[in-house]
Amino acid sequence: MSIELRNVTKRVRLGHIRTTYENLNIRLDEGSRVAFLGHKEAGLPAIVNLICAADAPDSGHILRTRSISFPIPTSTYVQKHLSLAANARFIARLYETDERDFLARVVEMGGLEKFIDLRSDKCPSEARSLFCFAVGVCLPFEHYILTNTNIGKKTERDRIDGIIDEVRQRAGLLLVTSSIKSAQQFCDQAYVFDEGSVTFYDDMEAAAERFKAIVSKGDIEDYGEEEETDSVLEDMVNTDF
Amino acid sequence: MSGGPTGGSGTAQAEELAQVLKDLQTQINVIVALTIRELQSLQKSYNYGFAWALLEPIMFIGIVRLGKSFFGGLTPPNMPPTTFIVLGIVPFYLYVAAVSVVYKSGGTQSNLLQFPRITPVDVAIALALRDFCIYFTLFCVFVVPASIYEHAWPPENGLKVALAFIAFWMLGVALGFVIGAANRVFPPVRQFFSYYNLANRMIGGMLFVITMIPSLYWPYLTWNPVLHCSEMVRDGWFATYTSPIASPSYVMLWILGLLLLGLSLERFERRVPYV
Repeated sequence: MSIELRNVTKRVRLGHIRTTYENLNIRLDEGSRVAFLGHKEAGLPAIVNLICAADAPDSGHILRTRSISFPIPTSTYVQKHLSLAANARFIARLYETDERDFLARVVEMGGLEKFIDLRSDKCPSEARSLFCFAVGVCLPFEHYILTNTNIGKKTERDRIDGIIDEVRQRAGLLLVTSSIKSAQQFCDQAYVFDEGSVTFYDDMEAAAERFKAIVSKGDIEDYGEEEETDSVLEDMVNTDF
Repeated sequence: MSGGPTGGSGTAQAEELAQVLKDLQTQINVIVALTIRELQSLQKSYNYGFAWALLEPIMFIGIVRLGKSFFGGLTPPNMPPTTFIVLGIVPFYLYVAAVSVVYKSGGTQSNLLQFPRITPVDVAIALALRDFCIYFTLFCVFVVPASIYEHAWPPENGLKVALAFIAFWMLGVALGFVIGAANRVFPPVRQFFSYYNLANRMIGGMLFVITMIPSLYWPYLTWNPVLHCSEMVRDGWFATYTSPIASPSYVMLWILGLLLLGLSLERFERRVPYV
């Protein structure tokens, strides 16, 4: 077991979104590749916050027995007036990693040679998202939490997919998404979140069917085929609430 | 072979101790990383944040010094006025800043908490350390030239002054944790803090030493640990002044008591939702 939520109850309040999860039981095994599938009203950012210990449950317990990443590619730590290099050094200090070596790996993975010394607000958004992704993936965690797989330019998606593939070979992966396509590509199991209820699926096809049914039952937009879906979710995860 | 089980238990204890020390080292590294980040982030708000941190005490010192020039008698005759004022004002501002940042950080959910190894306590301590760096620099910048100009250099006991300065900071951090915990469940407490802050400017020894007050009133003032800290700073700096009341052990008791209460409340309130 890597992460376990035992009888967790959480009232989610994100603006107009009000969802209550009661007696939530989720278990993520060591090395597992699990997707959390949910539309934007499912309150997934709050669940991610619980897993990352950014917030406490109203009741119940959360057990973490392995090193868990922060939500990747979160940008909440990026100081816009500092260079990407200075921001990477902060993460290196935080995770007690050699700064020079870490920076070199981030630059190489993100292909950021041209941007690393620029102020982050002067960098193109693709470079920033590549930076945030590379910073997370270059750290040695035992379980990675990904909240967006649409990183960088469209021409680089294959390379990024390759990196995510490599990550899921060496560690556990939790993909928090509203994209069925990404979930099927990277995960073997899924928890499907609907307002207040969670269902576990060992079969990604069944999970996809269930999620499609949830999306189509109301007037919720079908995010499954949209490219920008995960960035909507990422914005929610990055929101200070 | 009778030593076997005892040896095993000893090894287990040693391993536990090593783990505790490793965790402590990690927490220190996290706080250092956050403090450096906070110091770097001062650049972004230089015009309003950092400059104001400098300007407010400068203005206050200037006004009090002018008052002294016009009215006289605001500072004791055996201590040079500008040094006396700076020694009172800058550490007091550090105390207020430490209380404010710690209690405010306790009432809001920082985005940095998404990093599993960062806790709210780390964020609060890092913010307070940032303010310590600012006000310590400010202290040196003001007090050294002022004391040289007024022939009060060097301090009689530099170590005592430094420890008193740190005591101010620790007292602020400890009180900040208590007010922050109260603020989570009862937000109007911040209004009480502003009243307390205002009162403390009058009774905290920022602009007086206890010997300027008739001894009849001492029992009404000496309960205040901030006054003890102010007395310790001036006692340590001036060879011409020995405080009759300054008690480091009394201040330490307050710090330990408030820290115990504040950290216990913080732990107890983790499930309370942020307002």
